[in-house]
Amino acid sequence: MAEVQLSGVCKRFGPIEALRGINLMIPDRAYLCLLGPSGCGKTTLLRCVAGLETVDAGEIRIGSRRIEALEPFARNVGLAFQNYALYPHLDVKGNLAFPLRAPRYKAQFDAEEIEQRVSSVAALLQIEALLDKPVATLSGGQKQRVALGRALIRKPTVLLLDEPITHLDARLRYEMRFELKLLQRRVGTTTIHVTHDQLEALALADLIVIMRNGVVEQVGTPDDICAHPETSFVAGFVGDPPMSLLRVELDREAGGPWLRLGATRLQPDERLARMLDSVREQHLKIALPADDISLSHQGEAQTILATVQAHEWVGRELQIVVAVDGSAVRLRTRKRLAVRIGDKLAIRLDLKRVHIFDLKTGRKLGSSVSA
Amino acid sequence: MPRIEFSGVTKSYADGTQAVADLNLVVEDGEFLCLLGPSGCGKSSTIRVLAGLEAVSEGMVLADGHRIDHLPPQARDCAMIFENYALYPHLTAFENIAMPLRARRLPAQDVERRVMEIARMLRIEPLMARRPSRLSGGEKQRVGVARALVREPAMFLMDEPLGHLEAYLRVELRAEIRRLQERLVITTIYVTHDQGEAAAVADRIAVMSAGRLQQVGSFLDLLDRPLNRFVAEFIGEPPMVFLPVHRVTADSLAVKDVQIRLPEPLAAALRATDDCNLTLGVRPNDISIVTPAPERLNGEVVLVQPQGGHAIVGVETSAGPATVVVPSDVRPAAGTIVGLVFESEALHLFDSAARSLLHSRGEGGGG
Repeated sequence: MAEVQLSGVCKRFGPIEALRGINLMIPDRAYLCLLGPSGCGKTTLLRCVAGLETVDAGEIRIGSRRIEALEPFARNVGLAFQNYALYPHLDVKGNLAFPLRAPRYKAQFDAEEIEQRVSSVAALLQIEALLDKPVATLSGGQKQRVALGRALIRKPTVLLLDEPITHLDARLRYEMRFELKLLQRRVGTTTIHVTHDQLEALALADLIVIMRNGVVEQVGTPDDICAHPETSFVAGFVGDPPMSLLRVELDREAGGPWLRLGATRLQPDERLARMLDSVREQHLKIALPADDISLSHQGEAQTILATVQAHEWVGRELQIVVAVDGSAVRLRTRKRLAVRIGDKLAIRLDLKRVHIFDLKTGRKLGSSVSA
Repeated sequence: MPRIEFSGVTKSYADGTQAVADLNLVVEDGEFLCLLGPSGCGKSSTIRVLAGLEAVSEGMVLADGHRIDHLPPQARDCAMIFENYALYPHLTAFENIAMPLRARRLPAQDVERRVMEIARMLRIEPLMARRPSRLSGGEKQRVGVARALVREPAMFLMDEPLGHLEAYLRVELRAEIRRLQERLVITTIYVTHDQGEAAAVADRIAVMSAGRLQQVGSFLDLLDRPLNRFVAEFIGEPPMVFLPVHRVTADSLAVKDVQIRLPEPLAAALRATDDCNLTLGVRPNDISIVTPAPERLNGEVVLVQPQGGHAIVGVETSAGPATVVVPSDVRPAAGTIVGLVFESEALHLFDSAARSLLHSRGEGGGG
């Protein structure tokens, strides 16, 4: 049993509150990603579980055992970092065996046991052929495999990964993502993986925890987080591409409700209008999926004129970022348009899948997407 | 703003390594070109040769038809920025940007005007009084870009300028760089190993590998008409799927015992060669998942990676692993057996020398 439970975990660095009362339950065998922008507290949280930082308040349990006051080695966690942290003077075998050779484990792992574990972990990571090589001669992907092998060799109850593949080049990152997930499925070790890359988190995680400013914004499965964001921050942070956020005012005049965007009034459909009836706030943020924002012609319904801020090819799609009354909106098209920055484009906003948030707090007020 | 031409440029080092081999490449006046490739491909050496930081070993570099490869760096009118910003730590952002103008003894009021103008374009006016130690990474790189461009150089060269920044900052800053380049209409060469970055900023991309230019074209050209397997493999995410094929007749192929229907241009290309060692290439976006059937290539779903809408599905087939991108309404479960169908118009075939049968005929290194 290796579920991980955090309750009320707080951590402060001088004036900075890095973690403000984190509550989290990670089920046994789950692959959990801690996702957020830099400074959100995700790495601090991982380091608190690892024992590389002490907590100021709160409890951390692995299974039924409280671990927040234990020495790192006594927590039975395996760690792998972005920069591998391999011992350059040792070969691959020496690096893999290192955690077993610490004096405190002398009685626990004899030479035969060490040999057996090294060969089984090497087989698991398909690095048998590299065992006698010095680590300096390995490629980035091979080094990361060795680092993962070393993290797994003591058969930890929890595997902790800090940005393990972010810095690899695109192709290799893609391959390692695949391998990492299959590896975790095979060994079944409860895993906490820190990343700032939302596509990496979506691809790997059973559960994603989105953090910001030391608090948890939302916990959910990848599909759930993308379809049902709880805050405007989450809506604008995950998805490929993420939803676009627009500041609007709720206008109840003359046959409303309308959503007013600068000088333009957008008309909600019946379902959304019903939902807006229960909204008290006047200033709102709405989130729209990229596919509900399309190129249009001036003068058509729900159409506004916007200025091109950026354009880029993403695969076979042209993604265009336009400024609409102070908000940045991302749309995509398969047309080969020759747009220039500063061009005016007529765009149509379709309100059939809109999420509505309180402008001030960012909390969800409602959504026209069924749960 | 000059048109730049590399004509037969080779760069070898004293130890015998050849960083760039016989490079022929034209960068048009006002164009934004990316040099893209893995580390060690020669892309950095290429712009260092242009900037005059390295001497050419053979060949010529021309600007508007005039040779510049023998000129000292300062006479070439290139502005270059690097991954590390190389700002003067004891000077404010304003003074860092003003440095190239002061070096030219411009009157103080012109210096002030031009520094503030470029600062406005890069949205760093409020930071002008700060020293570099009080700037974030993204802000420092903006100051670096401003300093490079303030003297209105003829060419703008960047070597992995965003490499060390965080992902969201990279996205923000590359849009900023593109915006500035469009406003200033300056011939720009940008070195990167990141295809997403190249696709986002460049008019055209030159792909290099092992010192040699592989292909030049727009991102879509490279994606849809790769000349060889290197380009096919390097460009596109997720990476192209390659499957070994064998000939059934003069113009038909099979993967294992599954017949592959080829559209006419590809069938004709196949008839025209007697090469038997062929590889089929197909992009994950051009494969669909259907119910398995004896006449189809079938496989087991190994892994499903959601991507916030579409998902990336790993399938283990009898011919090897395949990756499929599926839309949001398709979510096969791991362990199920599925059939794969290829979009026949989007197939690529590579010969034993890794050249594309369809696209490499009659074309050289250029695009």
